[in-house]
Parts: sequence; structure tokens; C-alpha cells
Amino acid sequence: MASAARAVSTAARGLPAREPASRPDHPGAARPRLDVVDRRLAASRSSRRRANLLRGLGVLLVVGALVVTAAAHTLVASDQERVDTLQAQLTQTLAEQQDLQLSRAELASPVRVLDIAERQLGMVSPGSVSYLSPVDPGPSVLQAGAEAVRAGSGAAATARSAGLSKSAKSSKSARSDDLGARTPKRSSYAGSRSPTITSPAG
Amino acid sequence: MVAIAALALSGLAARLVQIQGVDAVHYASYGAREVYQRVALPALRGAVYDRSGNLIAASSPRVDVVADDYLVTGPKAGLNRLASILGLSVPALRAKLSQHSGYVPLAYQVSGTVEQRVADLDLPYLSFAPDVARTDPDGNLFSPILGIVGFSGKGLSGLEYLKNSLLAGSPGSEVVPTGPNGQGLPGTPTDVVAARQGTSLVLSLDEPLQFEVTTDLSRQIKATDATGGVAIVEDRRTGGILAMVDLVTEPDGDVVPSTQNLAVTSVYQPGSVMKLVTISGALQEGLIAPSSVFTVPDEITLGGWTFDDADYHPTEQLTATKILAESSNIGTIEIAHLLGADRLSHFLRDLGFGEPTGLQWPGETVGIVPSPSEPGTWSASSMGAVPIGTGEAVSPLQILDAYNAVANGGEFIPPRLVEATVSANGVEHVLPVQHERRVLSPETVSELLPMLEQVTEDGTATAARIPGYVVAGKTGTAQIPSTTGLGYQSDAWSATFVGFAPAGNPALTTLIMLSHTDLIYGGLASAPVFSAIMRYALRHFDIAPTGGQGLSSGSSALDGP
Repeated sequence: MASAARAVSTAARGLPAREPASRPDHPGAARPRLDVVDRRLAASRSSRRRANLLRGLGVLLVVGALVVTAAAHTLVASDQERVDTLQAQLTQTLAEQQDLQLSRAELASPVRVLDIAERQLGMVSPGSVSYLSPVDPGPSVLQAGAEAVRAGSGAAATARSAGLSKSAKSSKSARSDDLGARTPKRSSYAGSRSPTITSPAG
Repeated sequence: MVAIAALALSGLAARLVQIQGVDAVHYASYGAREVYQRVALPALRGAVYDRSGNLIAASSPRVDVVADDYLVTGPKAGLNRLASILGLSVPALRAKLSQHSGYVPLAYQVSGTVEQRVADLDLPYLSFAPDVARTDPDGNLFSPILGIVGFSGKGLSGLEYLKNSLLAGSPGSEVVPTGPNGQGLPGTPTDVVAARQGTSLVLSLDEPLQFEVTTDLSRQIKATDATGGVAIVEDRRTGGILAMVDLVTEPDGDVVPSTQNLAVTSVYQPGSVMKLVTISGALQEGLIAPSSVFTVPDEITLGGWTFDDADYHPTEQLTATKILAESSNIGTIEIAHLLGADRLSHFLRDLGFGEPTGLQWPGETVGIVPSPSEPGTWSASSMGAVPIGTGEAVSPLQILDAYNAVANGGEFIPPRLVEATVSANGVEHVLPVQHERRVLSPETVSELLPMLEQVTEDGTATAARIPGYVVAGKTGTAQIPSTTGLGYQSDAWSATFVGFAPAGNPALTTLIMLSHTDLIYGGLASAPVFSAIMRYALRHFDIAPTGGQGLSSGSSALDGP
């Protein structure tokens, strides 16, 4: 039915009908029916197919892009979370470092050490510390002693050579020690016609 | 009907276009303003180190625990545990959470451990605000010098105030998502401006020496029943302050650091330590020699005021050296008359009295120093009072610096406390020693040194001696002026000793001052403390003994690496 229609259509358009070609190897077989193809129609069908294909590709591309974007966004978010976590760890570690430095300084503080020594360990701070100072005996103690004997100054010179000369000195030391027992003169600015200003001698 | 529906739909569509299209930016920014807030990120304050790198003040990140009491609903679950962690009583915490303010700080500057324990409670009404805590690991050992830092993170006194611009750094900020009541929401901070940590300071102070000086001074304050005292140890060559201690006695008898750096901010009548100015001035002007002899009576009257020596003595012949060693008031006044008021005033200023020390310390005083060029301050008796240290008021650091100029061969070096700065990225910048100025000639100093040595050899300060070293210095004792009017307080004395060692090649200059001490004389009250401190310091800095005489030319720990 459709072939007939096409034939009619072809005839209507005034196109010459082609004779079927002879088949010498099958002289008795029926000749197949041939249809006339409308090229424009074929072109239109092909174009439609391409458009569909392109549309499909476009949709695929869009979907793919969305998937990629979503994946990338997830990746970025995931990495950002990791960055945030690391940043928080860094901040925390820096804070801990600061705290540890402070703790170290507090632990090493002489104030704390003394407190522990006195309160926990029952130690007592010395009232005074005696330092041992090197004394230069000069060429030799024996030589110096001999020189002292020669000079006739005996024990005093020996003491000097042993570096004890300062402590062996003089009456002024006693004067200074005596000062503690005295009451210095006081100034009398208030109510005096002839006031006295005193600056105690040290 | 259809037409009405179409009209309604058209209206909705138009509105949709307006909101999502035309006014989209406006609404987006409005929403962002509602959700995102810019919060400040406090900067870590720079640390403070002593000269050996010991930490003496540092900041560490902390958080404040903040509650939104509007979000507290129903039974206050976890209240007991929260109160326990924050160290609050439950009633107090309950009261805080009933303030109806929306922002209730529950605890300031809590540590990371406490923060974690609070966070584990998972109470929706709690949040954490960043903060910074300032800590002095040595407690109050350096507190008069360091001063205090306020809750805002700004230095309020002392060095923290003086160097605040360096130490403070600059705070940062970030934009974070927040809920309608200000509570933080999960999300990444944006537009982050990082806080810049402050510059750290390396001071000239020495922690072990500071402790030793504090211990020795405190012991003597208690022993002499003094109301307080000041001790300063200075590096002779650089003017670097190695220890600076200000102690006061509390009403209950405890000796504690002062709230102020009294060495710089307070003045007192110094007494005989000021005789240095008269004697050095007269030597410098060639008016006297150490062996010059003076006829010294027991007393002298000037401008209607009688000045006398501490102890009665008949008129006697004293050399200038003896006048200084025995601290004769009358002998010094006689030398001052040779020098004259103008030159005396000149030498006072040259040696730093009446002038700023150069530390630029907050609240620093220049003292009260009369001058003949300022008639209101100078009277007929000034030539008696000023030379012997009863006519002026000076700070302990000014006295120390004057003696340090003598120790330094006649060159005055302003004192300094900060040796270097260390930027946030660890770059150290060493500050140069301040410019010296010559105030006394080397010849004058060479004459003066034996005179000052004589003070400790057989003068008023034999208690200042240090075995193995020659010490030069001077005592000062003065009655403390009345706080209510003219005249003096009864039986109230300040006792000072200032000196340096080893005398031939001084390394350290030290001042000890005790206030309201019951051991009246500087030679008795302060000189022993000087000796104890210097014995420790000389060994601490590996300064070789001089064997009683001679010079030490070796290096010491003060030389640095």
C-alpha cells in the first residue's frame, strides 16, 4: 500500500519510472519491488536523528557537569573541613606550646624552687653565705714569710702576705661598729630659732 | 475564576522575579548581615625575657565561656557539672543564667582543658569567645617593673604600659556564621584577617640576680624593721639594669613587691651620698686635691640654720679624702663654698640630678633639685643643705647613675632596661647602648676612686667590703621629712649605700636604700646588703677577684657570647 502510494506520488510528480533490470542468472524469479526514496525526507530524518543525539549529548553534558560540580564541591568542602581541622589543631598546638613554655618557666622559677625547698623539703635559707676567695700568696708563702722575718715585722707581715691585712686593720672599723649604739643628732626645723641640720655620717 | 487565578499567579511570579532577580543582591546582603558577624581575633601579646632568655612574662590563648541565658530552657541540666568545672557555686551560676541579657560571660581566660570539659557538656546555650591571658611565671618577682595588663589586653602600668605599642601587636578579625542569638554556627570563617603577634622584649634584667636581690633586701627590711627598700644593680659599661627591686612592708609585717617602681617614681632626701657631687666638682675644677687639708669645726651656721656633723668633735684638720670617707658634713660644706653655688648646681645637673633618667618610665620623677638660677628654690642655707644631701629630693636610680658615671671613668650612660626586641617571626634586633656623655675627666676619676675606696677601707662603710675585691662607694643617711608639714618625722631615717666593684675596673654598680629603718646608718643598714648582693653578683657573672688590690682585666659573663 505504501509502495503504491509512493509510485503514485512519483508518477504525479512526472518522474520517469525506471525499468527493472533483467536478472539473467535467475530468469524465472520475481523481480523485487523498488521504492523511490525522497532525499529531502531522508535528510530531514537524519537531521532529526542528529538533533536528538545532540540533545542527548547536551543533557548528558549538563548532568555530567552537575555531577562533576557536585563532586568537586564535595571535595572542596571535604578539603576545607580538613583545612579547618588542621587549622584548629595548629591553633591548639600553638596554645599548648605557649602553655608548656609558661609551665616550664613557672617550674624553673627560683620563687617556686625556694617555696618547695622551704615548705615541702624543710630546707632553710642560710643566714649568710661564706664565699672562698682565692688569695695570691705572691712568689711563695715561705719566701714572703722569710722576707717578713728579715724585715722584723714578724706576724703582721705574715698576715699581710696571706691576704689578711684588711681584717687586721684598724681602729676605724671599731668606730663604724660603734655607730649603731649612738643616736645621731636630729634636725630641729620646727620651733627653733637656731635650727640645726644634721646629716649623719653615713 | 480562571482570570483571578491567573492574576494571582502573575502577581506571585512578578514578586518572585523581584525578589530573586531585581532585589536579589539587597536581600542576599541583608541575609548575610543577619547570619554572618565579624568577630575580633585577639593578638598574642609579645613575651618578655630576661637577658638569658628566661621567660618572665608571656601571653597564651584562652577563651571566655559565654552563655546565652535566653536559650536556657526547662530544667537547667548540667548546671552542677558546669559550676564545678568553672569553679562557681551553683546558686551563683543560676543567678548569672537568670540575667535576661542574652550575653553572660561565665568565666574569663579559661585554659584549653577547661574549655574542652565545658564543650563536652554539650550545653546549647554556651559558646566560647577568644581571649588572651597574660602570665608572669615568676609571680610578683618582677611585678613593679613589668606592671599590669588590663582585661582589654592593654598595658596599664610599668613596662607593659611603656612598651605597649610594641608588645600589643595588632588584632585580627574573621566573619563567622551565627545564630539569631549570637551563638556560633557550624561553618568556615571567611574574610579572615590574621592577628599579628606583638614584638617580644629582651630585658637587661637577670632573673637569678633579681631573686637574690629580692631575698637579701627582704631579709634586711625585716631585720631592721624598715617600711620598705629599693635595690638596683647596674651593668657599669652599658647602663643595663640587671636587677631592680622595690619592696614594701605590709601592715601584717609581710614584705612584698611594691605596686610601683619606686626606684624611678619616688624621691627621697638622700643624705651624704650627694657629697659625691661637691667633691667630684671641686676635684674637676682643680680646687682641691685628695690630700688637701681643711680645718673642720663641729658646726657651721648658714642663713640662720646651723649645720653640724653627726658626732661631736673638736675642730680638726681633715683631708678631702677623710672628709669623704668619714662623711663630714662641715668639711663638705667648706668644699662646696670653694666650688660655689653655680658650679655646684652645674655638676648636680651634669650627674643627672633634676633630669629624666632616660628610661622614660611612666610616672618617673626628676626630683626636686634647687638651683641658684631659680631664685624661689635657692636660699641662704642651700649652700649648707644641698652639698650634704638634705636640700634636695632625688630618685634612687638618679643616685645610682651618678655613681655609675664615676665607675665608668667619668662618662655618664643613661640606664636602660630593654636590650633587644624580637619580632613575631623571630628576628632579633639588638638596641644600641645609649649615647654616653663625659661629665668628669679621667684625671678627676682617678683621684676620686681612691677616695671612694677609702669609705669602705676605713670609713663609714666597712660592712660593704667583699673579700677578694676592692669596693668603692658612699653611705647616705637622712631623716625623713614630715608628710604633714615642715620638719622631719621623729626617729624616721633612710639609709643608703651606693658603690661599685671591683673598684679598679668596675663591672657592677649597686644601690641599696632602706626606708624607716631602725638601724640608722647607711653603713650599718644598707652596706651589709650591698656586700651580700655583690658577693653573689660578682660570682654569678664570673668577675674575677682582684685580690683586694689591682685591676681585673679578664672577661666576665656580662660580656655575653
